[in-house]
Amino acid sequence: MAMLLQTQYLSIGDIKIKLWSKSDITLGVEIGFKSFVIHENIIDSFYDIEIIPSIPQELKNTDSLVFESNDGSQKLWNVCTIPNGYKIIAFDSYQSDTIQQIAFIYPNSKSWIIYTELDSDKTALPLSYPMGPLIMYYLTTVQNAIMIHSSGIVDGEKGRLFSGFSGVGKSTMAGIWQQNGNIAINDDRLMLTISDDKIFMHNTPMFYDDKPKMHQLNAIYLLKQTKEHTIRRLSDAEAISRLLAFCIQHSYDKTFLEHHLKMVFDIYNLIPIYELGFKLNSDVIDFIRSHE
Amino acid sequence: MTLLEIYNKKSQFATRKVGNEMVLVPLKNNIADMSEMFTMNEVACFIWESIDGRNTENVILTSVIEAFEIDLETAATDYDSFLESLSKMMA
Repeated sequence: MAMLLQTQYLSIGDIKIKLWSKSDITLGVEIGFKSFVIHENIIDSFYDIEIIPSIPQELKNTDSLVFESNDGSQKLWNVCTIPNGYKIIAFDSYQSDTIQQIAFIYPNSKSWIIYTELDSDKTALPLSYPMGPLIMYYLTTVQNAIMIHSSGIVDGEKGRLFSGFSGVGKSTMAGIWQQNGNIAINDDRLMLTISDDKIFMHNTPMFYDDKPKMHQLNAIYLLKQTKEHTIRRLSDAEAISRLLAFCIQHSYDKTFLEHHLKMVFDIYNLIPIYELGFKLNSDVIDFIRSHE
Repeated sequence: MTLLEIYNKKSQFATRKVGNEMVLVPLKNNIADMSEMFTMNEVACFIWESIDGRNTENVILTSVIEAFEIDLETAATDYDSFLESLSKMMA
C-alpha cells in the first residue's frame, strides 16, 4: 500500500477537499488558499483529489475539446470530454503554451485527479490560477452551491448581496457599507449555499490572503447606476434570468445549466431579489434599509 | 425554422418554469452567453410545451385560442413573434 507522503485538507464554503499525493513532493497552496487549509483531519466527507507530479505527454491531447478559454492572445484553459467526466487543461498564466496542470474530474465521483508540473524545489501548486477557481466551480456543480460575481455585506444580523455587470459598483457598494461599520464577506465573488431553507454566502480563495467568512443571506440586489435611488422587487422569470446572468457558469454541459437554474430558482423562493438603481453616496444605506 | 426543427433542438436548452413563465438557457460550447437567455410569458410557455414533434401550427394555434380565450389574429401574432425569436436563438 502506498504511503501518503503529503495531504492537505481544505474547507471552502460547505465544500471539503482533500489533496494528497503518493509521490515524494511538497504539496503547496497559493496564498489565497492558505487560510482555508484545515490542519487537522476533522473532515468526514470530502472530495478526494490525488495530485500526480509531472504531466505525461499523452494526456496533453485535446481530443473531444468542448471549450477553449482565452484572454486575447493568452490561453487560459481547455475542457475536453472524457468518459464520465471532463479533462481540464490549464495553461501557465505567464507562458501561454505551457500546460501547468491537467485535471480529471468526474461529476458522479468524489475522486478526482490533478497532474501538475513541479517547481524547481519539487513543490506542487495544483490549485494555482486558473485551476483553483475551476476546481471550485466544478465542485459547486455537484453541491447545493453556486458561485456569483458579487459583493456581500453583513449589516447587523442581515446579509445582503450586491451583483451586477463589471464596473457597476459592486466593490464601491461594499466599500460604502464598510465605511459605515459593516462587514464585507467579499467584494468580488461569493459562493452561495443552501441549507435548511436558509441561504449562506461564503468568501472563496482569492489572489490575496483572507480568512474564511460566511453569513446568512437575506436579500439580493442587482445594481444599476441611476441619478436617483430606485428599488424594484423582481419576480418570476425576470428575477431568475437576471440573477442567473451574474452567476459563474459554463454552458457546455446541460446538467450544469440545470443545476444553476435550480439553485437560482431555490434562492428566488427563499429571499427577495431587487433591482437597485443607486447613486454612489452613503445615503444608499438608509435608502436600502428603509425600502426593504 | 420548422416546428420539427425547433422540436429537435429543444433538448439543447435548460428550462425552468416559474409561476406561469419560463426561463430558457441555451447549451453552448462556451461559457454561458447570458445575452441569449430567454424568458417566456404564459402564452410563449404554452406554445413551447405544445411543440412536441407532432402538433401542427394549426393545432397549436387552436389550443392557444382556447386556452387563453383570445382571437385568431392575436394568437397568430403571439405565435409568429415567439417562433421568430426562438428561431433566432436556435440559429
